[in-house]
Amino acid sequence: MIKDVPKYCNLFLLMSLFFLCSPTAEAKRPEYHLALKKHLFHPAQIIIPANKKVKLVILNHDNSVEEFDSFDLNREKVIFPKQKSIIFIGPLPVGEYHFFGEYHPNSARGKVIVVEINNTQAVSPDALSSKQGGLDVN
Amino acid sequence: MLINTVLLFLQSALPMFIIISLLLLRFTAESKSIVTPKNLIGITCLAITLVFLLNQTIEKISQLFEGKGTEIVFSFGFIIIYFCSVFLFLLNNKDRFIKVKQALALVIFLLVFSLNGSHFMLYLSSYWTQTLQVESAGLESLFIGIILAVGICVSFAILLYFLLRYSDLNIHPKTSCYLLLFFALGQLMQSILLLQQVDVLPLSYSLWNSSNFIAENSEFGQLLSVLFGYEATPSFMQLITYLTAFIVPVLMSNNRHFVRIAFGEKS
Repeated sequence: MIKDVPKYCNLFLLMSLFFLCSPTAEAKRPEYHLALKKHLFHPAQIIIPANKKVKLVILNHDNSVEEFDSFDLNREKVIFPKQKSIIFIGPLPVGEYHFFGEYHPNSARGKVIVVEINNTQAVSPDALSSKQGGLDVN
Repeated sequence: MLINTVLLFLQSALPMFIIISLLLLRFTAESKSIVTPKNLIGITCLAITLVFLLNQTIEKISQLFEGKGTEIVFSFGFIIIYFCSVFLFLLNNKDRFIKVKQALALVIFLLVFSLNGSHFMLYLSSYWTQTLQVESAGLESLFIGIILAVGICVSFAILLYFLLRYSDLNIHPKTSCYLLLFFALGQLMQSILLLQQVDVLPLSYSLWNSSNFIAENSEFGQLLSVLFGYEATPSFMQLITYLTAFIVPVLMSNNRHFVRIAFGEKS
């Protein structure tokens, strides 16, 4: 029966394997930190470089569950009390991308600001976080 | 909080009610009365038990695989839903394999119910705990919100059921079959999103942004997302997977040679 499976079925299987085996260099992603305290995100805005994939680490300091949600970023993740969660975002073009806490949408709000970084400038999270006005908890 | 409860419940519960309509159509279309009150009660109890079990263990699951546990487990569940739906789609015209179809339908229902139900249970238990500590008036809005959302979901599911039944009889006999396949594609798209979220699948640029036409966070966008797997900002991988995952089962079901070989019929 295997030899009778249509060729397009084999193609589907091959494509699935290709996508599943595609390498992802997780270890080298720049890391940005977000803290959740009393249903508020700190910092309320994060600046990241354009066209780069970044790792967002969210630490929930509260005693209740929250859900990081963003339609702009197409991301949704439950963050349990006193635990951290990791989300990867990007590559994103220049602009602002809003996120919120789904369980407390009126208070837990923030945005990711994507900016163009020249090749000669520092791209490290430390360099970018120095541009941020909010409280940055690492 | 009332509006938030309604929206959250809709997001979680709408897939459950839609899949009930779609699965009922698969079996009533063949005039085989499989859905009996006894079966329904048993299956519902099993589904609720699974939801509670998943809700109790989801915190530990989230810590597996270096914090990627929830995404990997849920995406695996969505992929199983897709493949079971494809098999159900391929077995559409067969009066045999009733037991196989029953098993597939059961798996689909239980997975959709538990994966989506656990999401809302988390919100419910978290909100319940907080509200009890602060005030009792919040519980009122919670219950009213749930009742409103259940009403919306039930109304929509009944409307969908009769609409598809009419379409199966008068327009095209495989309408509900194809809608089941589209629903399964939506579940598959969710699995890809989850795996991209934790960098298991590669991240890439969005091909287009149709948020100006149909926003994903709008009511219509949410409905399209559940029914057809609509994405306002799809990536290349999502597009290719969507097209392949739709075209391959359709071609397989139309290929008489394959159907005969697969179901052991003499050519």
